[in-house]
Amino acid sequence: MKAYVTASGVISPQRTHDTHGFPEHVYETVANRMQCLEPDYQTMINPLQLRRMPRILKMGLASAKICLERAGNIDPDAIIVGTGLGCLDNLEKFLLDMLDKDERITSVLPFINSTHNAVASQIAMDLQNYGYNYTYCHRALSFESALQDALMHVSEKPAASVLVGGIDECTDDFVRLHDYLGFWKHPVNNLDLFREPGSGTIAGEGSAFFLLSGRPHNEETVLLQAVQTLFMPEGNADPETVAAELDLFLADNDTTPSDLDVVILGLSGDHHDDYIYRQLRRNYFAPETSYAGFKHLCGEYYTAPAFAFWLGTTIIKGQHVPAVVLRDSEQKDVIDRILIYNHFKNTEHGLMLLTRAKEGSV
Amino acid sequence: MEELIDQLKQEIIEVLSLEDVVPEDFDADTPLFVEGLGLDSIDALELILLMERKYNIKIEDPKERRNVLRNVRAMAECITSYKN
Repeated sequence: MKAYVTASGVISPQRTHDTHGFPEHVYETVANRMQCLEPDYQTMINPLQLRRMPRILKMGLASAKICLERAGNIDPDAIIVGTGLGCLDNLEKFLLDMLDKDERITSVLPFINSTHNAVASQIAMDLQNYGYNYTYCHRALSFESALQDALMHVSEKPAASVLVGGIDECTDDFVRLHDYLGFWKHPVNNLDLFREPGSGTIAGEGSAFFLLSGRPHNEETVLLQAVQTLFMPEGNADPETVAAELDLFLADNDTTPSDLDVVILGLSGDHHDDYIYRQLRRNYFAPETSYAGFKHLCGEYYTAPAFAFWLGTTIIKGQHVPAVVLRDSEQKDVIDRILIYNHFKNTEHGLMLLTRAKEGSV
Repeated sequence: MEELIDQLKQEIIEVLSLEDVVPEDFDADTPLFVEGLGLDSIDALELILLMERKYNIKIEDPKERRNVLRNVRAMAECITSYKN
């Protein structure tokens, strides 16, 4: 099961929505939360629809439209979305409204727009698309689960185009409640995230959509080779266990650790999480491999791996690892294989393997 | 009555998130649905809620609802009649 990555559309805390490749300037802030730099939605969404849409729907629909436009306005055969928290802001509004009104009649729109699958259905309605439409809500494995489903589609129908995305929004209440649980650092410069000692990270959000297909549409250069998810409910997987899983995953794809040109790690600046990455780097991956981090650019959120996926495709296409993501290593001359490894609180671990496409790769 | 009409216009804009509309864009007799403001059935639900929550007016009869929500003046008249 492999698929070409035909196009992408990304709205993130960096200026990714209107740039091809990696943005020239990186957004820097001192905070414990990063918010998306959003486009002018009025230029891409019908104003009548716009007034009813909460922010997350605007982000999702706009990034999906950017992706499809870059792919040549293809009507996808399937729309698959991964989201950890869904339309959280409207869910909060709806539930608070119920409390305030003593469970009597509540506002209509926050209820309609509070479901997790609102993004996928909004995209389908906008495109008048009656194809397969599915939303995965598997916490930090939501995007990887959506990708696995997309790969199965492409495997069954190589000519099919699948729009797949990962989206989550950050709300004031979410940040406040998770602050009590020690999720965040005190306000910190995002570019210094990996240098800040101790626990906690920066909250983030984003929406990233990709068009996958079993056949090349134009000059695709990136192939999604495989995706794997590991669920460790005890939250105590040690680096050796992860290394054993990595061995199996790479072997299944005829790859060894020394074949990897770049490894994108989900480093979050929280030493409780990052020790696994550091130990794997020391003991498992090859010394000449380049390493990249990404959460200092987008923050931590359940579908942050979608941002890493975009970063991986951008690196392969441009054959360049931007200095701001490179971690204590040097870039190789040729970048053919990228492994993305992310875990959330040592519970949900996701692996994605990207390669540079060559003719007849699929 | 005129004061209530102005107040209702502002509330309709807020409740329905009519971002590009200002109170001067429609008058008391402008139809709210289809033509005029071009509202639809979901907007109707929000306006029914507005009447219930803000003015404690619950209209059970669908025909009467349609009549009351035809324009801002009808809404204002309904609110005034319930007050009296």
